[in-house]
Amino acid sequence: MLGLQVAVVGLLASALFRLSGDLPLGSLRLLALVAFGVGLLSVNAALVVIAAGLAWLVAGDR
Amino acid sequence: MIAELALRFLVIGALAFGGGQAALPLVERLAVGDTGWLTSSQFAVGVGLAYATPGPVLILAAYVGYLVAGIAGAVVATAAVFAVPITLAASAAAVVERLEGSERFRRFGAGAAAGAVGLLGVTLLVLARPVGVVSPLLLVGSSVVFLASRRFSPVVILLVAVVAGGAVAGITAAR
Repeated sequence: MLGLQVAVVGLLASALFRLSGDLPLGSLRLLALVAFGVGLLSVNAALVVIAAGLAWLVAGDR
Repeated sequence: MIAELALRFLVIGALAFGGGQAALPLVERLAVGDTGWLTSSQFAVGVGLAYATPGPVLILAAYVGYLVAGIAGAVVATAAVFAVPITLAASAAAVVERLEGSERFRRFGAGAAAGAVGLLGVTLLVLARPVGVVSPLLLVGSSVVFLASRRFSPVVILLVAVVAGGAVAGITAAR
């Protein structure tokens, strides 16, 4: 069980590294960092994702 | 319970921008943080199984559903998590085509994916914490896995990690 947990942590770290690297803009990475901070506050995850999408949408309309 | 399972996995499926891995934090928050249906360790095992089996990582829904409500839960959760993407892709190709051409939809998806990436960091912390308590090998072990994941299949990594973890546990117990 310990081995499996270590493997999953490593694989998720790898996925996080790759996905954050795939974000095309620095400001999107900043948005991911904000989502990370908000996520630590135990805010509903679905709301965080929707809010991030809407924030990026509104920022683009300006 | 089944209805709640279906509703929550429908929402996760609808918000899975950025692929299955990006949706893992949503599943973790649903199954571990919000409802307490699973422990962090059970969730880690589920993610490991999802990586080790063929198909999308979100097949994790079947594992969560099974632990919550048996076979019926597994079927409902799996159907729910893929319902929105399949409906959009298969029966509303024209809508998808229009949405994909929409600058607003693309922007929303990009922002939502960034939000999911941030939440993946939170999931990583949640999963790492119990492992760190159990063993100081976490940093070394997960770093090795991190580096190995660029060259080897997750299935191979999981098998090696399980054997290595069993060996460490066996040596520790023998002392």
